[in-house]
Amino acid sequence: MNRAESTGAPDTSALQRRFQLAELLDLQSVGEVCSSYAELFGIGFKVIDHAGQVLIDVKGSGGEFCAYLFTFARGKAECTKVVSAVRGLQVEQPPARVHECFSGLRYLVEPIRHEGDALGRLVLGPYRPAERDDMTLPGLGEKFHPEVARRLWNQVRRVADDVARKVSHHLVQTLEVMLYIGYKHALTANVHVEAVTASYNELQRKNQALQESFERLKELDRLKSNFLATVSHELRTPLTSVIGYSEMLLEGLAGQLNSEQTDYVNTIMEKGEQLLNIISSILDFSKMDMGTVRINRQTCDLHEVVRSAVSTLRPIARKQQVELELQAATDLPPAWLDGDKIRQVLVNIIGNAVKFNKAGGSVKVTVDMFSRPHQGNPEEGLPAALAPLTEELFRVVVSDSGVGIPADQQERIFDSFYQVDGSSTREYGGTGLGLAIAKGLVEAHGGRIEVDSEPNRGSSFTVLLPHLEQS
Amino acid sequence: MVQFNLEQRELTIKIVYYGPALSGKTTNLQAVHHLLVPDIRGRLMVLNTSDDRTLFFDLMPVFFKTETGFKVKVKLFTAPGQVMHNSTRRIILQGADGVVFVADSQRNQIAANNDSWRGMANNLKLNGMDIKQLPVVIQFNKRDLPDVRSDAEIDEVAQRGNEPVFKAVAINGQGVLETLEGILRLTWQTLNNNYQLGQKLRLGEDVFIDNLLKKNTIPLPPLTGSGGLLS
Repeated sequence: MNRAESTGAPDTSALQRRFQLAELLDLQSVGEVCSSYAELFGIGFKVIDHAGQVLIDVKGSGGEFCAYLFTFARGKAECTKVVSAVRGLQVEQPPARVHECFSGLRYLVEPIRHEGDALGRLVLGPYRPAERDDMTLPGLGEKFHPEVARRLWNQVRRVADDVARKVSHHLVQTLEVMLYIGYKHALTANVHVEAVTASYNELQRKNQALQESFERLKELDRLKSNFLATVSHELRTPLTSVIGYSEMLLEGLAGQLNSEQTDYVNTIMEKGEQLLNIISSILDFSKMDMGTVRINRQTCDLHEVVRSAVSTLRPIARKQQVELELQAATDLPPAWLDGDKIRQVLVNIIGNAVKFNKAGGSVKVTVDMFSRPHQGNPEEGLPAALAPLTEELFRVVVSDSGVGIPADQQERIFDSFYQVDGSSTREYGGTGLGLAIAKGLVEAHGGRIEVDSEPNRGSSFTVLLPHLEQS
Repeated sequence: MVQFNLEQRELTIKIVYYGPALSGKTTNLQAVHHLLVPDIRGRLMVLNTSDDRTLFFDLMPVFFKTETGFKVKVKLFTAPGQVMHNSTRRIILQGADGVVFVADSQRNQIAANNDSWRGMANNLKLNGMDIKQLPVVIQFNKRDLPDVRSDAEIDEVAQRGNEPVFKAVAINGQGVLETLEGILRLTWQTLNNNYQLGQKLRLGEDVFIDNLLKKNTIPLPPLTGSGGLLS
């Protein structure tokens, strides 16, 4: 809309826009409707927009007569004058206005309106008025033959004015319905696009805010890991001295201790080592969290790694009266992995199985090879079709007869600092880092840990490690 | 925002019917469509889903020409009530000169009315408009249903607020034109204060109202609204 005086807000929506006739009408369909009317009544029709642009021009029975007149200079000039006057005729309100041709033919011009505004007009004609018997032509030159002109004049459809008005009005009504449908279609399509765009922009803004807060959280997480690593390191250094000096006291380097003193120093040493283990776990975890843990793969015997982990825990199991059993397949191939890290994983898992057990309970550790259909690509960028059908895995299963883990907690036990019983009065100690570290180390090997458990019946942890060839 | 074109001698005013889902916004427009004489209003454009809920909006223009030849057009829109169409509601509210807030009188709809009002205030704010500056009337619709807030209660709440309050049973046309007259008068007064429209158009408030509310004598047929209450 060309606003001479605007009161502010921009016309951002199609709802505020003023459409032109050609934007709202499907001109091909309008052409077909006008042709159909022209065929039915033998009269020509023009659809003209508000600016005088002819959008549709369908010839009727007056074509030959007009063409004949057009061959004479004066006829051409008069015709042009009439056509331009008809095209420029602004009709804002019904009824249709009559425009006479110099030849005695007649035109009707009726507005095509939408919401009370004339967006254009329909021109009907030329037609021969019913009350006129002869043409009203002036002389058009020497070569002009009135009898030829009269013969062609008689071919022009003769129509009574009231019939012409009815025909014009019916066609205008049809066009106004088509205009309304076009307007409805234009608004629907535009508002749909506007609504989708608005929703998209809103989502973009929200995504941006989420992304920013995610970045902030990642930075905070990095600072936390950094802090943990620094604190652990600073705690470990003086603790090493506490343990070292306790050892020296026990060895009698500062003189012989009596039995009570030996007991006290033993306790200091034991608690010191316990504290050192906790701090080491935190340090391991923060390294893993920062992505600085290094996997040092070497050819090793997995059976030996498992056996070593089991024998580390055997004294504790014995103390807790938990039976600890190891079953290993005899035909295990050599493994290509970091034996120390996997041993740490198994000490964590088997340690948990013993810790969360009751006197008289049992823990069973089995080691074997396991093959299953290949899941996913073995290597990034390699087409799945090229991957082997099955993958070979080392499988270590640790099953216990302990307290078990409720189903809704089974995912969360791998979260750092998480304990199923998180209360301050909980029965079992520990930092809640063991399984988080175990998971991180196994995943760093390209493997995974699965858990299957039922409360009060026991748990079974399965460590799956890919069988890789030394590369 | 009012579109005022001195060159083309046109004035276009936008009124939006806003309110919670199924409060009767489309029914209001249907009733207005039937109650006004056909030569001052255009077709009622209803854009519904297959289950008769308003998809985008409904639109009906009402227009007349002043004695001095100025074209005055009021476009009545309804905003879709369903929660998911919020961005469409915001687009419909763009440039509104006045709002009819169609509240549901049923007691169990009080929270829905309030949510919708808050949503409208927020949408206006996002459009850079101030609800305090915008002419708004409140219509308590569905007065014929059981378990609605009582007349006394509505009269009391009407006293407390600044917005003129109307009671309606849109489905039988009751209170619909009164509500429309309420918002048209308030909007005219605001536009007149801000832009001296009366002076520029040489048009008085009563003539403005009388021309836009020429009543039809044909009785109102049964209405179903976009929520299909009777369907």
